[in-house]
Amino acid sequence: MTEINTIIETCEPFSLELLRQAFLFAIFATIGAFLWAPLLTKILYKYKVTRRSEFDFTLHGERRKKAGTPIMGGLLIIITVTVITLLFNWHREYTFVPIGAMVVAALLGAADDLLNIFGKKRRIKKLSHIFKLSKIHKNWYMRLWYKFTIPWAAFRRFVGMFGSHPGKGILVHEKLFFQAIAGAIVAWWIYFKLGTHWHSIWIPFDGQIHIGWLIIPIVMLFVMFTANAVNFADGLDGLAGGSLIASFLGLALISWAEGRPAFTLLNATVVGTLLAYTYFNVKPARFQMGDVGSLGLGALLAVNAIAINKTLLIPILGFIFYIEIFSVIIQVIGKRLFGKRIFKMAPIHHHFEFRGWSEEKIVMRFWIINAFFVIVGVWMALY
Amino acid sequence: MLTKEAKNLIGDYISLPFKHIEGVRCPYINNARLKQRGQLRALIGKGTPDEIVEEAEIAAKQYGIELEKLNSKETREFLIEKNIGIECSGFVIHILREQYLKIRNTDILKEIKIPAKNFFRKIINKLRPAENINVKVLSNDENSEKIDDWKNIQAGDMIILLDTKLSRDHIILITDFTGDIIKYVHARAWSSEGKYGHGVNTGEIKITHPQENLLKQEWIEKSFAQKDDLFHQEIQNETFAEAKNAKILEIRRLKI
Repeated sequence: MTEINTIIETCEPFSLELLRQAFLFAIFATIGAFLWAPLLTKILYKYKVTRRSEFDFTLHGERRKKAGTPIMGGLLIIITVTVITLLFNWHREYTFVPIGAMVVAALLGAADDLLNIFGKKRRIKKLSHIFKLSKIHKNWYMRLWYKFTIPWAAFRRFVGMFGSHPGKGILVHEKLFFQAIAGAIVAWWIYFKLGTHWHSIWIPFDGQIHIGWLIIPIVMLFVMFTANAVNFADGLDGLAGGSLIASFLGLALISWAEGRPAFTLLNATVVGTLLAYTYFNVKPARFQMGDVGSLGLGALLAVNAIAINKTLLIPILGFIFYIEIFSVIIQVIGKRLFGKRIFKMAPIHHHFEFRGWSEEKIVMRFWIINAFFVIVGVWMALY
Repeated sequence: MLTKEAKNLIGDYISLPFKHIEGVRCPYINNARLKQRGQLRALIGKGTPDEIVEEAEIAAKQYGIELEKLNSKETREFLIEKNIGIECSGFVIHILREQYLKIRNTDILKEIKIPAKNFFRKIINKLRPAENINVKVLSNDENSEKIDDWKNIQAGDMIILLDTKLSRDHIILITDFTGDIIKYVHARAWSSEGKYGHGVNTGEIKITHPQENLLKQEWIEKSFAQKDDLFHQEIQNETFAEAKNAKILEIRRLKI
C-alpha cells in the first residue's frame, strides 16, 4: 500500500513501475474474480436470479435456450472492482467518484434486474387516460395531481419509444431520471469539489479549452448515454464483456501514458475482472451481465474517461456501444417518423442475427471493430 | 386500364411475395381498432406487400416460428395473430400510387391534400402521408371528383362508402369495366368469415339493370367463410350489404 501511494505521488508518464503495478492489479483482479465466480453462480441459482421465459418476452426461438441462465453476473465485476479499489487504490480525489458513480448506476441496474424477476406487473396509465382523469376525477386534489403529473407522463410516453418493457421492473423514464441524478451528483462533485483542473475539456489534436460549468451537463450526458449504450450492447453472450475489455484497456494505457496512476490501476483492475467475467460469459454463458453490470460499467467507462480528461474520446473508446445505442435511436426515428424499419432489428447486433450471422460471428467481429477503434482512440490521446 | 405495375402490386397483395410459398392472401387489418400510433406501416394496415412480408419474417424470427414450414393457411393465420396486414384505404393508396407513378409520373402521396388541425399534424402528414390518408381524405373534393354516371367508370376509380352500418368508411378500387361487368378489388373483413377469412379480395358487379343505379346491379364476391361455422346458412355478400347501408355511396376519381 505504501509503495502504491509513493507511485501515485511521484508518477511520471510511461512509468515502468506503474506498468508493473497495473499488471499486478490486473492479475490479482482476474484471479480474485475467478475464485469467487462459482460462489456467485451458486448464489444466483439458489435465489433463482435467472432468465425465465415466462417473464422475459425476448426469449423466443433460438434465444429460448438462454432461459435459466443466471443474470446479475455483472456483480462479479462490480464487487471485485469495488473491493480491490477500496483496499488498495482508494483516493478520495481520484477513485472515489468513479467507484461511487459505478455503484450508484449498478444499484439502479440491480433494482431493475430484481424487479424484472420478482416484481409485480405494473399497471401503467396511458397519457390520454391521465388527461381525462385530470378533467373528470371526482376529487379536486386528484385532478390537480393528474394535471401536475402530465409532463412526467408525457416524458414517459416519449422515452418509452426507445425501450421495450416487459411490464415489470423500472421503466425507461424512471431509469433515465435516476441516471440523471447519478450523473448530476458526479458532475457536481467534479465541478465543485475536485478543483479547477476539472473545468476544462480536451479537444483531440487541439489541446484544452476551458468550459467552466458546462462540464456539468456534459458529464451528465456522457454518463447517462454511455451507461445505456453498454446496456443495449449486453444482448449477446460475451459481447459487452469482451468489448469492455478493449475499452478499459485503452483507458488504462492512456492513463499510464499520461502518468495517472490511480486511474491506471483502476482500469487495470476492471480489465482483470472483465477477463474472468468474459471467460464465464462467452456462449453458452454461465451467467449474464444484467443491468447491474452493464449500467455500472457503462457509467464507470464514462467517468474514467472524463476523469483523465478524455471525455470526447468516449464514443471512440466505446465505439461499439455507441453504434449499438445509435442504431436504436435511428430505428426509433425511422419507425416513428417514417413508419419504416431502417435496420431489420435494433440494437444492431440483432440486425446481423436476422441476416443469418451466428452469435459467435457477430460477437467476435464486434470485439475486433471495438478493439480497432480503441487503438485509434489511444493514438489520438497521445497527441 | 390499370398499368402492369399496379396489377402486379394487386397480385402481390393477393399472393404475398414470400420467397418460399405462394398463395398467402394479405389479411385485413382494422387500424382504428388496433389503436396504434406512430407504428410501422405494416402493423397499422398501411404497408406495401414487401413491408408486410419483411415484418412477417421478423416477427417469425422473434417468436421462433419457421415460416418455411408453414403452409399458406398457417402463414395467413400467423400474420393475423401478429396484426400484420392491410386496411382498405392503405391498399387503394399503394395501388393508385403505382398507377399514377406510371401514367402521370406523379407520386400521389405527395399530391393528396391531407387536412391538418395544427402545424404538428401538418409535419406528421408530410412525413407519413400513407398512414394519414383515409377514405374521407380520398373522398374529399380537393382530392377526387365525383363520377355521377356509373357508365363512365374506368379502372382506377374508387367506390366510396361513407358511414356504413358498422359506423365505418370503406373504399373499393375499380380494376376493369367491360361494359357489362365492373371488376373491383379491396381489402375487407366480412363478419361471416370469422377471425381468419378476411383480407384482400376481388369481386365484380354484373350489370343486370343498365338503367338503374349501382345498387340495383348484381354484386358477386367470393366468401372465405367456413360453411360449418355458419350452420349452412346462406352467406351474405357483406360488401353489397355495406354499400346498401352506406349513408353516402359515390364513385370518385382522383384529381391528379
